[in-house]
Amino acid sequence: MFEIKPILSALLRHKSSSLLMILQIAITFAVVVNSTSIIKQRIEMMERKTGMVDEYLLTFNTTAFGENHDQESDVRADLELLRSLPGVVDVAPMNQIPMSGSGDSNGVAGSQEAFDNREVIGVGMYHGDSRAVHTLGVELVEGRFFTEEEVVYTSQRPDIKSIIVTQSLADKIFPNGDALGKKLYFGGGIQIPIVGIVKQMSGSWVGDSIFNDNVITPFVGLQNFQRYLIRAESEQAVTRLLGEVEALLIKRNRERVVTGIRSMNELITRAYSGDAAMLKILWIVIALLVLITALGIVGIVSFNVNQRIKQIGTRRALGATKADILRYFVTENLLITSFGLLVGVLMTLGFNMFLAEKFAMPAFNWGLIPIGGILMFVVGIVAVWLPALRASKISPAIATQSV
Amino acid sequence: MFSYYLKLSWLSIKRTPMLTALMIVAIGLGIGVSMTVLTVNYMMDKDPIPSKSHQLFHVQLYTYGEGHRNNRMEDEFPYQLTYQDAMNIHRSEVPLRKTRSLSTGFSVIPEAADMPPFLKSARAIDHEFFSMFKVPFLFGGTWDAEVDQSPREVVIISKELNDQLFKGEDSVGRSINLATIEYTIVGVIDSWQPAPKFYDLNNGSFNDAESIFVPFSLLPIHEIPSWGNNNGWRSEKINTYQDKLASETMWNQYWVELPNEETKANYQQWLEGYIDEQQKIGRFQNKKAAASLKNVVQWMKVNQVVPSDNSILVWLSFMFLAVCMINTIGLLLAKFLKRAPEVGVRRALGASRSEIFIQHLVDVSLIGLLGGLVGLLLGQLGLMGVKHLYSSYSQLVHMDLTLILIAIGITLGSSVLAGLYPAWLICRTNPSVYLKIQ
Repeated sequence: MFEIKPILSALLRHKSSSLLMILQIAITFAVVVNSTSIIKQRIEMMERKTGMVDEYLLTFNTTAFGENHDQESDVRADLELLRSLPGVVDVAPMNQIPMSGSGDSNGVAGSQEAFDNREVIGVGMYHGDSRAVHTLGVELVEGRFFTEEEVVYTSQRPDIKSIIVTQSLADKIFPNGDALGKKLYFGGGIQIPIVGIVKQMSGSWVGDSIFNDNVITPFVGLQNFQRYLIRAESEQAVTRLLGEVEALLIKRNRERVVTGIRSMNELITRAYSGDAAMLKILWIVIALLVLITALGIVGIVSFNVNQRIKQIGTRRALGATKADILRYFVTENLLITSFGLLVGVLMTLGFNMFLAEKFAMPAFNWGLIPIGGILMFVVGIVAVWLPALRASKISPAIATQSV
Repeated sequence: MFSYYLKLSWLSIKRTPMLTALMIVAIGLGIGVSMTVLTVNYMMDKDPIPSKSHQLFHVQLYTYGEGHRNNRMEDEFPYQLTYQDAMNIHRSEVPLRKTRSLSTGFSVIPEAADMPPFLKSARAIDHEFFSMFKVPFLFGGTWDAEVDQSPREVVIISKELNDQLFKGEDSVGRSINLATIEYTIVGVIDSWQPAPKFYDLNNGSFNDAESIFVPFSLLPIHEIPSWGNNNGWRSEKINTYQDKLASETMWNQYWVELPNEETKANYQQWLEGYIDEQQKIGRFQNKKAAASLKNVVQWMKVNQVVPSDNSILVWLSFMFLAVCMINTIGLLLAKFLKRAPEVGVRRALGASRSEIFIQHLVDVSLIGLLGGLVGLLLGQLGLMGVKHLYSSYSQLVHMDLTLILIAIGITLGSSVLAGLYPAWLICRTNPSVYLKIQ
């Protein structure tokens, strides 16, 4: 009923042009599926939750010059000023800001022995005052917040007595789920008891393997350089504060420069800007490639129709209906697409293995193969439709002309 | 003869406008996409200092304790040096030129009361930095060699900062207030922006060059802060700047100029001697302690200046080009076969197979050239898009003459390649078949 045999023999008569179409469909499929796989994985990465109240946060730095100022009272005066501003929910001095692309990291272990054996796990080291956890807006699932008495203000190496960790880190070091109350071991014999666990908090480097493994300590380092994090009550307040803070802070103390005034949403956008750009480029590549392949099919099928005008007319004269002719070309295209996909699946896997080995791309998503296949069939049918329709309108009278 | 071929080709293009247009679009898109991707890659990977890239070496010392390593580098060497090592190896007289280097920054406090203080990135270096890296001077020059031994508050500023503070006048001899300390300007450099910023790949490979250059010898005096990476592996009590100078924290960089293989071998030997000496006094207890010299090209490679995303895109764009070319072969086959009767007549009238073959290759080349032109235009469009997507690459993103020639080469090469099979097929046309049915 689908006349597969005559179609096949017709295809075999045009071996090279059929092979070319098969190859073209195969490569297109391999590129489309692998690009989609990259797109999918990037989107999943970009959609990760930070665990913070992103849309209400903003940050800035101050760099003081001159040596005639007491850094501790400076920080306290800044905090007092910022907390008194309308729209501010909370403020904390911090050594680094999640998603910012810069900060401190360290290696920790669950016991001195593990530490000495260098079985250490990388962590992002966040320091702040007692308001830091609340300002970040991260959710405390176990234990407690820091108290103001615990916070160490010093320009020296601090003596820290308590630490809050992320759930991800707690699970890595203490897989039995009993991290609270246990100690984290750092270098130099330093050991700090875990007093709280937060559900989720992003690190500073989005591409890093330690992205979700972070600790917060009650420590404010007194230096000429200070970072602050502000939690505002609304997005409008964030926008207003972004414009206001510099002038207000300089007004309080002129011997400094305020820089890096950014909202958390801006930090997040910047952190993923490379990935966002890659996504757009890949979408464009896919769209153009599918377009080229479709145009190619239109071109070849139109040519075939022109070549076979007489034969088509003869078939019509011998009783084939318009639908029969239409079906002939569509079936021919379905066959070619099927062969193309067979080769294409192999190419896709080969290309994926190559990418995985050379660029450490993550595992391949098999679910994309049927989706890609359906796409190629749809593109094929859409492309073949116009020339096939034109073929079906060839008059049977052609058969009787000339020859 | 050639112009006759061209004329025939032009006629044939006019006769099959639809197929020809499809081919031009296919080649154009293929070239446009692959040239966009190649341009970005080529510009990132480009040798930033071709005349000296094989004479300038970044010095790395494996000073980690047992069990520590740099996981981000294949040979596990640390990126940077400790202050002590930077100071110690600076004693060597083997290199032709040498410089210690630290990424830093200052609050610039303008004299004019109405101009608020602002932050600028800076670099603490030795006086040979400028001749090593071929930094052009607009006014003045580098400081005296003795400043590197007995420090003085001298500074070299960028053209941009000079324009901002001194309205572009020759400011040599004037002073500038950096974080409340007065520095005397000895030089103003002209616009200088190596891309990639090969002399410091730790802090953003395509970041802007610094605006302020001060003597490295001032570090202990003014406690110049590090704006770059500080990598510590050992737990040490670092309470003061002096503690940091004496620590095993790695935060300084070191570059040498070694003009030939012999000097390089001598210097490598000198560094090994230094390592032995340090091992004797109890530092460098790791068995892996060694020195590594990497030239600019090697340093860019181990630092993966070209992000893997770009390399993936290069492979994708080549596959894209392949699809466009296969597409073109298919369309050419159709176009040529359509002309088979005409070829039959020409053959019967005495045209040789090679003439028919060449005629068709000229056809293809003409289509290829038109496609290439479309491709170059699309490539410019693509680069504008890239500029929009990656703001930090804006200085990278332009096609130079080499790239345009490469584009034309790829177009002609691939279209002739695409045309070979169809042209071969058509030149084997048997004239009698077509003569009969005509």
